[in-house]
Amino acid sequence: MIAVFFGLFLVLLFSGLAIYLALGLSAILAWYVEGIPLVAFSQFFADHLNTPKFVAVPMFVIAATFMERGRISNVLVDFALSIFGSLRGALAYVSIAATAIFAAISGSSVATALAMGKSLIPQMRARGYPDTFTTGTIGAAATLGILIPPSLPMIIYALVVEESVPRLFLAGVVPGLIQVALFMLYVRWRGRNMPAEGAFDLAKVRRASARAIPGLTMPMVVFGGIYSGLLTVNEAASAAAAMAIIISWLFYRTVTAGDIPFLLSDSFRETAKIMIIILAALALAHWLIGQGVARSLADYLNNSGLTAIQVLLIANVIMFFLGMFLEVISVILIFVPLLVLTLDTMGIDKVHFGIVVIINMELALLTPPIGLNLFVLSGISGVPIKQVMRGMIPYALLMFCLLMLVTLVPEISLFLPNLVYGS
Amino acid sequence: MSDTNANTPGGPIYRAAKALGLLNVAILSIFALGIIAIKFNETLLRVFYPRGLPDWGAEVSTYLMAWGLMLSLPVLVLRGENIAADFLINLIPEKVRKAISLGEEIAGAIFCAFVAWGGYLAVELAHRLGQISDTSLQFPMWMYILAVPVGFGLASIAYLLRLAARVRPGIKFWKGAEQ
Repeated sequence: MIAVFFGLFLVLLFSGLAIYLALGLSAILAWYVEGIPLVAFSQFFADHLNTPKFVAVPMFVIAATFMERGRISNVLVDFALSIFGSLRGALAYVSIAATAIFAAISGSSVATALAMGKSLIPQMRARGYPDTFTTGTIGAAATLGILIPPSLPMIIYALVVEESVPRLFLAGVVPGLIQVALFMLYVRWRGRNMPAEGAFDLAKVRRASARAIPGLTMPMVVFGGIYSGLLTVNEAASAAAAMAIIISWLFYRTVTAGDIPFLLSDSFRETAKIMIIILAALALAHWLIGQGVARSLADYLNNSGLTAIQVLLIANVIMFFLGMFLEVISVILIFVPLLVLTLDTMGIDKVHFGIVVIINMELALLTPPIGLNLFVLSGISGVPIKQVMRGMIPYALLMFCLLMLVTLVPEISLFLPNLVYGS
Repeated sequence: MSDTNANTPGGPIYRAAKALGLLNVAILSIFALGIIAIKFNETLLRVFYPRGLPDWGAEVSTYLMAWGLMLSLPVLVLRGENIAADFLINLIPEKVRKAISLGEEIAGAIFCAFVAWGGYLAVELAHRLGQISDTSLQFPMWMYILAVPVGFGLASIAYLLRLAARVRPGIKFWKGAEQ
């Protein structure tokens, strides 16, 4: 029976149906066959929607939307340029640094790629940077949007495995900084023949910093608020949304009062796209778990003689494969619920596994045929997908090294949360 | 008046669609700003006047979010913006692709109608049992659960409109009224 419904789900999924429909139709049929009344299915949707922790998701999406449409990215680019401008390949350093800062405000990789791509591609083109290198650098750097907190996929993961969101956020910091460092080292080597943007000028840094202050305050408020205990995650997300609206409307004046309602409703729709998949995936996962699939998998892996590291490596292969064909949130919702019990029985820390999942999802954003960042960058720049992909290959290899490092050395991700919250 | 004429800017169908679209935008904006206001209020009260902190902030913001998300569903369906794993779609023949698209609209209409119907039953049950929330607000739960049948019911209608537009393309009025 399980094979039949899982097969049905895969057929529906790969036939191009909306993912929520593929999940929802499989789930509703499975529930029906089990003899569960229809009212319970809809009640399940209503009950899971009534989860206060979900409120952070639309709020972070609002923040990301206003950051992206409000061109806050331009100010961050100027700020990073004032610091890295004197280096060869300056704009490549700038794209990584500014993207890392943007990622600390936005929780979405696609919003980051859109915002930074629109801002940086024309400048890098005008200065003679090759298209392949430009789109590859921005696309790969934009994946930081989901590793450097706040991160929407981290919130979803935390809800699925019932783990603390602030712990997960902290766990993403060190791997995120390592990724930034790896990318910068590559840019140092690759950009040695590319132009600098003039000598270092302290007055310029001061001017750019002053203009960037409103944008730079946002991560401080969000993280300062959460880790000082002053704000809950939902309140921090709402503060980020409010600040993004005010900053883009009143400070940078890139959004008019008339734009605000449309951007707010756009944000709600973006969230609804994710949320309906979450509800349908939870309904299918509820049935699968009720059938004992997760328990059987946990028992099987526990008795197979595999070590925790081996299980993590196998999980990496499966997630890499799924990530090629599915969108980030869908992979988390389909794959992770099946493994939750295994994590417990094998003694794998859920926060550590969460970061492994997120780095896999970063890679998923760069791998065809569904790598969203490939499409975003190709769409903005007009550069063919193949060329964008070629530019991302070196970065993807570096990310693969990071993935292995984080998989094999849990302390890299667990060090900071354990330091702050204790183990 | 033909459908096509009614669909031109200024025509009655166009105006009605535009008005509904703007109403949707207005409601979603109010809900989003409502959540921000509630969270801001909670933060301020917790810092400066903890005794005045209401116990219903999380509850109301969750209801606003749920209603906002459910009211976004029909617009997603009309615009065909739901996320799909459509990478294989270009590899299959045009005829099969069209059949899948038709199948999606029929399956979507049926699925959403089922969830809406189940939601209606859940609302009726909550109403009959007099279920209320366990905060001081004692909010009638049927009013919250109503979001599910409303959202999925409208989404089902949206799928039916897409199906109808296959037969009479003139009624594809929402295309003209998108912001």
